[in-house]
Amino acid sequence: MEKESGWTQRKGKLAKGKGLSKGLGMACSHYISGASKPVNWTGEPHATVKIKLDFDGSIVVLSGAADIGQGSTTILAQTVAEVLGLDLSRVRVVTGDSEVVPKDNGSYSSRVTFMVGNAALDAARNLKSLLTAAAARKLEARPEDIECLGELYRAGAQDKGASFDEVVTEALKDSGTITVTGNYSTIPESHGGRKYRGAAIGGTMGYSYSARVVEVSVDEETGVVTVDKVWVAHDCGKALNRLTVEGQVQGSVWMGMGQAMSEEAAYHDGLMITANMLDYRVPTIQDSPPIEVGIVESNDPHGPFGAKEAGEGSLAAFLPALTNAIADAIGIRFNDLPVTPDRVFEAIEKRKRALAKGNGGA
Amino acid sequence: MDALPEFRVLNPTTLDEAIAARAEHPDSKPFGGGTDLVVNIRRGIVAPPVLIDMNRVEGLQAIHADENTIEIGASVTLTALAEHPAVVQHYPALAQAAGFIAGPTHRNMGTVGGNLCLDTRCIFYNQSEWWRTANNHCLKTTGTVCHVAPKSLGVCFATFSGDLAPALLTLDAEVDIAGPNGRRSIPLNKLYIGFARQDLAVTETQGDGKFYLSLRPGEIVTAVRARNTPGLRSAYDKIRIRRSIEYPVAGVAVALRRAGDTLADLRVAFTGTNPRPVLLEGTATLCGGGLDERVFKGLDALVRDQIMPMKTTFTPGHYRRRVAGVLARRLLTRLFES
Repeated sequence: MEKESGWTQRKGKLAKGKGLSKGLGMACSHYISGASKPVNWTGEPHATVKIKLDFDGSIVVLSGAADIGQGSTTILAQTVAEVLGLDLSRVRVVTGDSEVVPKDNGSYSSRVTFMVGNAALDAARNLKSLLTAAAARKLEARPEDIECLGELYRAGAQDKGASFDEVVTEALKDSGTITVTGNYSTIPESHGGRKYRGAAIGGTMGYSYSARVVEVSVDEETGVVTVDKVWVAHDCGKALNRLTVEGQVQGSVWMGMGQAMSEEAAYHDGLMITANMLDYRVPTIQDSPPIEVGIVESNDPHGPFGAKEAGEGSLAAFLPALTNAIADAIGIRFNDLPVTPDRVFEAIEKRKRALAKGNGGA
Repeated sequence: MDALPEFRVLNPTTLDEAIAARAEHPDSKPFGGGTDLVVNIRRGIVAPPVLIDMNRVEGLQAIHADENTIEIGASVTLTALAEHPAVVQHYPALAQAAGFIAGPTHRNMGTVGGNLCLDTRCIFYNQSEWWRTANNHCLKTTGTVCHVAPKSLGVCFATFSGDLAPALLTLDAEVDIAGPNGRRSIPLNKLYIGFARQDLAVTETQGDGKFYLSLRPGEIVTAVRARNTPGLRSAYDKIRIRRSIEYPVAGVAVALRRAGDTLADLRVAFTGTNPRPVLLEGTATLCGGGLDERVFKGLDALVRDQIMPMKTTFTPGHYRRRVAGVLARRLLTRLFES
């Protein structure tokens, strides 16, 4: 990111002066892949996923995880298809209908890929054991000798094996429709005790890391700040779906822009003034700068296939990176958000007054 | 309240039918795109029992524009105006103003007549029913106090935010109006009466943020017309917190003529600042010389005297006035030097 943004050569050296001043700012953040302490204290698992397998080979994944646009439904389908070695088109995911799906704690604290993904992984492995056992019966082999190739189960490379559909028929022979359960629970060591500082909700099973460079232009006569470009590096463990990771990171830039530059909850006598989508200014695509997303992969020992979160983790760094960039551009540091044009204007005016006063006194 | 109260929609196809419908239903509202009106209806701010759809009224959909004159029907969409080749070429401020309004879908629906008559706005007015009830309503609806200026003695300060008006004011445009007593044309500047003077009672020529148009009962704006001046240069710009789906924090149109090194003519108009779009008075005194410090100082003084944003938006009034001046100065310089 340092290289991509030309940080070393450009920081502090961008055009300054009356009118438009440009600046670069950097910041880093880390984030939890879901709070390890469950929101429920009943002892039940952190996440539960069910998979239903029926006579026609249909695989339906049942999850309470709410896909709020982050792509969690895709991740669940991918996870199950990956374990069973099947094409994605074999898997259907049903979410959200609490009459049908197991309860989920929700899409918050960037937990779904990690927690629900692990539960889906567990469920898929449980289903695979049943299918492997059925294949062993059908092929008159030992379960540990069965090789699963997705559409084909066989006992060694010389065996012509049984198709997935044949194995399903065998598996359902006695029990009818199969439903398996997968669970995920965090380990108590990750909950964070009293010594665990700085996180009211405790620790996590996996931390993501993010870094960001923001380039801005500040119009010193109007206070309007334009974000010209953003570079992001995000360590999400193994990227299960690079497209959705990229989308999530871009979304985090827009979410960060809103928080840092335009969205504000303001009140008049206890009544919220900005409680509408016009005055609570969520950035539009017109406000979006070019965003360079750099996915930094690692292998998390606890995450599903080594994955960590790619949700809120790269949001946090936008805010200080922006204020750092403004400070680089005009030498004024903002500690209150959002940095709206009138606040930038006011701060510049205040500095002018202070300078005038200082000169007058000297 | 209901999510949307009951109302009837009438679809007149001739102007006479539309005027008759207005006369028959005095509480009715004419609408073009409804991009502002429907929001206000949903918030319970207004509850007209009858809406008159102006989009099918014949004769209101045309743009006639060339290098000499322009005439725009009230039902022309903002997109059509922004993209019209002759408007883009000969009336750039107008095309720019239309192209900057809200977002693309609003511009596809919103009309010239609707934008010219756009209801004034205020943070104490453009709120939900329960919000306004909890705040004891305000002058512009059924209340007795203007929360922007509680000591204002019955004067409403809601702000006019239409983008087209300033561009048209710098062209000395006229509006055509039709009503139960016939048709008339008045200078566009006379359409806007939101002077919000505390020392005068509200009359047909002296209004405020609540009575902001000089339209008489049952009247409808049908077209707006202007003559071009050879050599006139014009542009529009505005400050927004975000770049789309946003009313202007402050908007400015500037039109000028340059003769050699002399500023021969200057007109400056603002929106988003006062209860009316303001065509700056006294700009003629700035003409006759070059573009020097005297002009800029004079312009600043005129802005200071005539542009008076109140706390009607979430963005502070003094900021809106200051940046309105900055934009005016910039447009003036850019146009003069172009």
